[in-house]
Amino acid sequence: MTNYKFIQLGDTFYINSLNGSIPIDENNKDYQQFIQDVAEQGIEIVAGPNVIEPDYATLRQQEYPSYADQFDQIYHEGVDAWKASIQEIKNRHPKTITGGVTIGPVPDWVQEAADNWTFNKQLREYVNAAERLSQYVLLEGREEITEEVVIGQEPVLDEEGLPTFDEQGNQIMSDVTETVITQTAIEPLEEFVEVTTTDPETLETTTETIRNPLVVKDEEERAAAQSVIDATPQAVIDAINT
Amino acid sequence: MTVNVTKSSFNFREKLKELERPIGLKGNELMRAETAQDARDLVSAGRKNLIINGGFEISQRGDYSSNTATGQNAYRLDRWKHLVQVVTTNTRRDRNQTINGELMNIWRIEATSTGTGRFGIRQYLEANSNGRTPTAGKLTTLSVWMRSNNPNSGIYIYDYGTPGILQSFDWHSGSGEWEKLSITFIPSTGAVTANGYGLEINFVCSTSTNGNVSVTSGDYIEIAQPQLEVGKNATEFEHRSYGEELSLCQRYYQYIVSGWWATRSATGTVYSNAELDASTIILPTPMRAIPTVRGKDNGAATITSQGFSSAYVTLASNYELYVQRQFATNSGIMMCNLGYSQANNGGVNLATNVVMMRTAEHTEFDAEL
Repeated sequence: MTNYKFIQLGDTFYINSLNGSIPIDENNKDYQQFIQDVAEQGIEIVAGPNVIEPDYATLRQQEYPSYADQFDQIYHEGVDAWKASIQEIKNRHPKTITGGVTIGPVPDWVQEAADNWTFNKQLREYVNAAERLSQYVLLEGREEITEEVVIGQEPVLDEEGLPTFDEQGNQIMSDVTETVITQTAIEPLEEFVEVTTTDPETLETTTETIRNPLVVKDEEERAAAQSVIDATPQAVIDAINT
Repeated sequence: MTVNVTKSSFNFREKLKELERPIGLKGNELMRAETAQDARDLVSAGRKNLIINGGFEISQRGDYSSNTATGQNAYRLDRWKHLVQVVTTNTRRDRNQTINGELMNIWRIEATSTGTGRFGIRQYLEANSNGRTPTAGKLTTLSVWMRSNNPNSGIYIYDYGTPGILQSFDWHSGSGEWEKLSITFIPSTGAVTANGYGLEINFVCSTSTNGNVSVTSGDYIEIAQPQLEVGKNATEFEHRSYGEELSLCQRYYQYIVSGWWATRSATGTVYSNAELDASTIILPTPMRAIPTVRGKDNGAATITSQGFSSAYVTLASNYELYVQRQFATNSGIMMCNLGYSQANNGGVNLATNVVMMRTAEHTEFDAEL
């Protein structure tokens, strides 16, 4: 079933749909939806533009000389020559050409735009998945990372505690550094936790050990992210790497 | 060397009196303002509400004073798009309701079925001309009056800048009473990732990650006076005039009444299926992008029109409508065509003596985000 129909006016295309007449403008939300629909549902949902095939009468009219030229031919060459030239046009466009309307092909750029949409979607999903996998594993925790950061300068003193100077007379200074924690440590989560439940009728409590739900959720999200990365076409990954 | 300085005397008692003047906290802040801009920021002076139609005054698509079934992505009041997943909803505008002693217009969304879904309304704020969110890098506050009977109702922002993330939340208690909700956040400064989209302002019943929640038929959200402003404080709602608000809305949606004409250029052509007739239309407000055009009443590309001969004799009706182009995005000048469709006219060709066409219904232009 087609949801979109192309209209061609000269070299320009427009798209008619159940949602109105859509211009080809990347900022138009209906056009954006059109490209997304083609990407997700296939080019089959789009019908090409109507192409008008002229009938024999139209084709003949377009080739007949003007009345002046025809009279001129009759005057100079006679009626038989005129009839022959007219007959030649009629033979070229017989009455079997009844004309009508056919459906033309969907412009190539539609599929290209849909492919581009899919590419960008895969790109976004890949980046998000990679970002998810870069987060620390809850079961393993995270190590502390420190860095020496320059926070200022102080004069270099000699043995007597006096400032020192270089050959140009400039005071010699040295960096003052401080150790800064750039990533705090996070303890790994316990893999198993105890859950106590109370039977509402007997009021008996039972305790069971289960895998930590936070760990399970972390593993599920990481597995989902990994599957996105595994399913990403190499061309998309190459585009990111380059 | 001794320097003698002479200073005029002052009344010490009067100086002490000055300290007793009633200066509130805001006054103290204002007195500390270093610049005029600081002072303006402190009192949130100037034009401030970035949300369009926050007063729920403008409704070009309909009146909506009674319950109206509303589905996913539907627009009702100008600029407000609906989020409806899994469940079904009715929407309604209640005018002149008293909240906190002030008359306000309220937009109500009520679930009419039960399920695990989500519902609400959102407004997309356009990215600025530099491709950034409207308040990129500035402390920004969203506030709204909300009433709901579902504690999963609340407000959040989606930031289309880089990185695009959900920003802050504030939830209604679900008590069924009016509560003023607000969140303060700093929108990203990176380029926006979607065409034209800046910020997405959400008033919804959903999880904090835009997921489904338990919804019972009869659950509702009512909101009034949503406001997004630069600054760390939620200040009083900015009331704009009807005309000004309408112009702001028309950048995204507008319609013209029936009766605009188009003339036919090739009346002698035998096959008329795609014959075109152009008409230049000057829209009151230039639009954000080249709009989708449709009949206002039927919502489709086909708009009912009447064909006339040169002697004004009615000859045919039902023409397809196309937008040919918009001359310069900011001019508001549209070139529209009425195209004849054999399919809509029983497969019959357009009569060759149709020379003019006149639309019989309103035509709407949609450049919403």
